[in-house]
Amino acid sequence: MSVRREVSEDGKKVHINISGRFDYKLSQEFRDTYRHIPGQEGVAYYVDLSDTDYMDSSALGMLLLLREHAKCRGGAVFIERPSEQVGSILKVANFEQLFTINYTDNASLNSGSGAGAGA
Amino acid sequence: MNTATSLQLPPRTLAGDSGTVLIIHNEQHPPDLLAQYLLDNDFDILTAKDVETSLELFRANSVRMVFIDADMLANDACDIVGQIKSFNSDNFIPVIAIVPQGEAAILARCADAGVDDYLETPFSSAALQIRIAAMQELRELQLSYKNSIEEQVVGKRILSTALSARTLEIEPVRKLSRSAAVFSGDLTLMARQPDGKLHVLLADFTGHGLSAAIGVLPVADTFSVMTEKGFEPDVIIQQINNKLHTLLPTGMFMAVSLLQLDSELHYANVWNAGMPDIYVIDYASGHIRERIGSGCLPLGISENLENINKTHVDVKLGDQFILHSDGLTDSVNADGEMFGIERFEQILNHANKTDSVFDRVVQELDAFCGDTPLVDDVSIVCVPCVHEVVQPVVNNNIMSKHVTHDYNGSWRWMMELSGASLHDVDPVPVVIHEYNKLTAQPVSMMKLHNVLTELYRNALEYGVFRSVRKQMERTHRCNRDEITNANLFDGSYIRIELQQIRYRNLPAMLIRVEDSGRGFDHERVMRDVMDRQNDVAIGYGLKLVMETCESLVFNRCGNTVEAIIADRQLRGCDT
Repeated sequence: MSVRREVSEDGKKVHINISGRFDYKLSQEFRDTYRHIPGQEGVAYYVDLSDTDYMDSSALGMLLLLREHAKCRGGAVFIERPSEQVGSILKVANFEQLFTINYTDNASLNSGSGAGAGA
Repeated sequence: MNTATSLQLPPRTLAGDSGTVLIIHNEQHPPDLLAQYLLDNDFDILTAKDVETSLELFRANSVRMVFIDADMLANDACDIVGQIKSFNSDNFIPVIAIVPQGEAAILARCADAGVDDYLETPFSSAALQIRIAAMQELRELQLSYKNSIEEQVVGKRILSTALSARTLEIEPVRKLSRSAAVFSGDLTLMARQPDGKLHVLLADFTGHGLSAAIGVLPVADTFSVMTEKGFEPDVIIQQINNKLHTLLPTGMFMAVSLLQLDSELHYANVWNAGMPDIYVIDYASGHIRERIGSGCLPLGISENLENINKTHVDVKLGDQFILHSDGLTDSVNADGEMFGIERFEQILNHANKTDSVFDRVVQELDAFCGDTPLVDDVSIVCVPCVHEVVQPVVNNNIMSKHVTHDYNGSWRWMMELSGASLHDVDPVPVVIHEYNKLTAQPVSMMKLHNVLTELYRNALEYGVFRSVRKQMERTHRCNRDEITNANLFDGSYIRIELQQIRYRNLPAMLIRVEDSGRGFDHERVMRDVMDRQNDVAIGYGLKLVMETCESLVFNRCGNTVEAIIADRQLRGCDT
């Protein structure tokens, strides 16, 4: 598991990629990806979960912390291409209500409750 | 190895307070430098030349560190390091091997034996100093870790006691709760509404361990108190959400599933906020009949909870509800494979009428995971729809508790104690509790408490007991054996009634106490009280009541009394 970060030249787009397990062990590392960027006004954070194969509730909590961080500074958080398993975890938590989730690469996760798709 | 014999060591040197070190070696004497260094630094030294003596010394003394000559590990049939480690597995006792320089094979043997560190000979006292300091630091770390775990264990015991007071135990409901750390972030609670409906809650806090357990008590309080007051689950969930939203920092939340089972077993209502699917297992077919998925955000994240919809489920006798936390399906085996939803549902789909599906899930889970440590807290609750689960509360002769709302939101509340409850139950705290729940306290609690206590005592002593005594005397004369405690109070009762009223434009309470006795000559007693001529208890108590009340009126025979209390002081503060 690892956390990678890329910041665009103007510093307004931050891509965060998490591979492997996204769980409580990553909390420090994940926080470091957005805490120490100078001039953080209006930053769009793209959290790429296409290489993430598991996510626990602490990871959901980390996303909430990032959301708060971004919101306070006029920014936004986009969750990108969650794998099927991770997508279902986000769905159970109803995180679509809080985040823009872009499923494009791993489509087929439409709304519809109780399908048991890995819920 | 240095074999000089200039240093003569007694078997045990009481040198100082750094602790005791055991040196295991097969030379005549331990290495000089080692012994001298330890002595200079206030260590006690024990020496042994064979395994047996070593273990004997080790058991008899509180040894803090062990040095062992690598030669002793050459033919280590009895696993000396292992024995030392297992003898006192709670404490870290470093074992340091002394190895000839450049002997890779010997070093490898030491590694296999499980030593914590090694020193190559010849070594300097500086090397020794570094090793010992590092080992002591490790030891202290281990000690402080151990202390913090012990503290958590005590904390958990306190929490468990507090929780057990806030939940019901209902036998046919089966539950499994395993925690990954000392504290569990999973929470299972049960409570009953006044009309007999059963509420079962399973919650899962973010993460696990101490921080996950922090929110457990406020949730348990809200759930049990509100259920017992008769609130519906959507209101309770909303309230818990508000509480957690204030209490928990961003990034922490609680997923929850809640089941409400009708007392007639006709239907159930289910709420799911961020938990895995809740299953309904059909009794007739033994298959999963319904899944109720999560319909809204977990609690504590957003200030206003939207879409907390309930799902109505028609129930047949013998159906089962299965609630679980994701720790169950996320449990892994030694190969890192997850238990998984498929495996879980397969078991649920093969429920049969003779075996418990709950037991089968636990068996299969154990067989799958073996000794692999838990990654998350694991909970499963199985609620069978059988009559034992929803049996109405037996209320021990405390009969009618009515609340009726009269004009403009004012209310009247009544409670009756009869039979054995007259000597089993103290109604005053119950009344005070109800009063607290019902009202914004128009009068002071202390006044109410004093008046209630006196009037109830009066009704009991001079109403009920006096009649019972008279009856006993009669019965005694007829047949001594017929009296038992159980039927002593048959037919006796005391009714306590509270009514919210206005008295001379003040918010006031009317307290009415009626007993089954024959009354007493209240006019004479009251006259005596007024004339200050009566010092007996009855008069004294009533005098207190009169001083507190706005009005005190007995009915003609004296078995019913009405007192009115108002709070002029309170009103004075308001205006």
